[in-house]
Amino acid sequence: MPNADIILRSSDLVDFHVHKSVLVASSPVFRDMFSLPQPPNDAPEALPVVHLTECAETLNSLVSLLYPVAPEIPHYSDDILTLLAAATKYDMDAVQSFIRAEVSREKLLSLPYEGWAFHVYAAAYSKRLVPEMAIAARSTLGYPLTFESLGHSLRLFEGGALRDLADFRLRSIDNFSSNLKSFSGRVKGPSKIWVGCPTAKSGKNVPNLPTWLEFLYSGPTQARRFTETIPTSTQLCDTYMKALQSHVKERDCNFCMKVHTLEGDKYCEKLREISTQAWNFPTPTLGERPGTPRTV
Amino acid sequence: MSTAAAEAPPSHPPAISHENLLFDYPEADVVLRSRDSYEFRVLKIFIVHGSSILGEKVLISSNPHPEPTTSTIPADSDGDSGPATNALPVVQLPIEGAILFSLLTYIFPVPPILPSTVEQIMELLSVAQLYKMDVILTHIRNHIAQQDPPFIREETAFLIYSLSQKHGLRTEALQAARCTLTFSSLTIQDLAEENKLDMMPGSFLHELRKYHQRVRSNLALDLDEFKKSNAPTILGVSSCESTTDSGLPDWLDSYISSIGTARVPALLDLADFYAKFFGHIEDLRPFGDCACSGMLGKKMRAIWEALTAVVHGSIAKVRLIYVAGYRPKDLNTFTG
Repeated sequence: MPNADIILRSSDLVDFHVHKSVLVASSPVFRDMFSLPQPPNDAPEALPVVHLTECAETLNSLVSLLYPVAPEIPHYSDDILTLLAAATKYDMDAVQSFIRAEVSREKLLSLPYEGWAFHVYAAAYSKRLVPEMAIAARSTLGYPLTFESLGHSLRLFEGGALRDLADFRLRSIDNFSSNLKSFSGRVKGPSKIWVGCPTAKSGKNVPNLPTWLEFLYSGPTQARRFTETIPTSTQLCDTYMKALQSHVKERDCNFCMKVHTLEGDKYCEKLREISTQAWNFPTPTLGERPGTPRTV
Repeated sequence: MSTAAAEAPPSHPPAISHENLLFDYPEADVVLRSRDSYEFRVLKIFIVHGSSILGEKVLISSNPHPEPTTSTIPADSDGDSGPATNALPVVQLPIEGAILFSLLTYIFPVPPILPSTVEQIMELLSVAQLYKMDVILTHIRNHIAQQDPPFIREETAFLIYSLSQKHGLRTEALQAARCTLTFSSLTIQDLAEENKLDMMPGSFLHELRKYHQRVRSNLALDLDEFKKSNAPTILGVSSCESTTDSGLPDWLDSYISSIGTARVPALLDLADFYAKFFGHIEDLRPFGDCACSGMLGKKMRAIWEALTAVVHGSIAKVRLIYVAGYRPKDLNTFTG
């Protein structure tokens, strides 16, 4: 930069000639640093040098976000997290917000496969990036938490990262299971609309739900283990539709067909809400430990 | 805390005391001070012989221009008296008093005393390794090997594996990893149920998983080879009614195949082996006595011994590839 008055030197020894005033304006950390008496410069004609622990690639992106130039945001999630960690370290609020907005707009932190969700979670956890950790933790709910799913990402998990993820997943799965249980109540819950199906086995004084609705109260999530997955709202509605279609076809059940025609959309919407609620369950903060993972 | 040197009775004070973490040789020519300020008045010559690194620090302490980590205190001082002519050099060490005391019991001709907890024992080994005390390290390991119950056993294996990785103790890491082969399974759910999820970082766990996988795949190959060569040689031609492609009675073939899959490889059980054998004999009894009954005695013993040798040999062949351990800066911390 022309008229630069300070050099930021990266860990791999690349110099960035920048302006103190720009650093001070965007970072309280640099502001405090420059407010302290500076050591005498051995070569008065040379610019003072600040040695930073970030690599040139990260510093280049960071500097590009401080000046009115085209921002250079990396596209690889590990590099994005490193950049965010640097912006967090130097307390650059506006820069963090900008990066997060860009990442969200461009879907740069999309998690295309199971190992990647765990990879991003562990990387964000180690860099203390709570929002990214939360996004990734939620994404893992679609995959089983097993050594096989973790793959090589396991190496990135530090300290309590695995325990915190297990705790979060168990609370989400508990929420999903208990809501689904209320939902499937034959007396009060939304599922009571199916009472009356002629194929249902009658219980003692209380009519039962048809057997095709068993997917609501059986299946892996009822095991309430953090290793299990939570179906997305789409998956849950697909399961509902498949079970219903199979039932109507096999049993020629006009009752269930009629109920679905009249109230199916509403029922499905409520079913979606249960999944959405579980997927949006409050995510853990770093080091939080409400209780030992409970297993049933 | 200082030693009880000044508080000791005037006549024949004990040279060592476990309770007070006391080492107080009357002829001491150096003081080793622990991180938590225990002081051990000892003889340089033993330290120099025990460890070249520690010996160097001790010898430097006698230098008229001592390093910042050393100072001098009067030989018979409780710390409050004025200047003394007979001052002992003090070497400050970044080791806890309990660990340093235990280490000194292995250096000096006194009964060796292991620290009381697993964590402290691992730290003792780590310190001995960092100071390159090879002979003393062997001495400590031999002492540990005599413990009853064994130091590394099913209940302690996971913790010891984790601490070994942390301290870079390859021998203990491998022993503990082998011991974890006795676990019926190693899953994230298992670890959570035993509150072990945060006992070690993922990188250590990943290495342990890889170790288990390597053991099992190696074992599968070796057992396959055993079924094709050793076992038929020992058994001779089998007249069993129910044999497999490898020519072995099916009960024996399936038993061998189950090792490392359905059966935990490190827990081969002779009674279980015989149970499979007798089960087979019983199953075929309605059709007459199976020729396998002739295996009882020498052949059964021979096949069992050969099988266990193959399994143990196969496990022993697998090493841990990655042991995290200390980094150069840790060594600097220790060596000052």
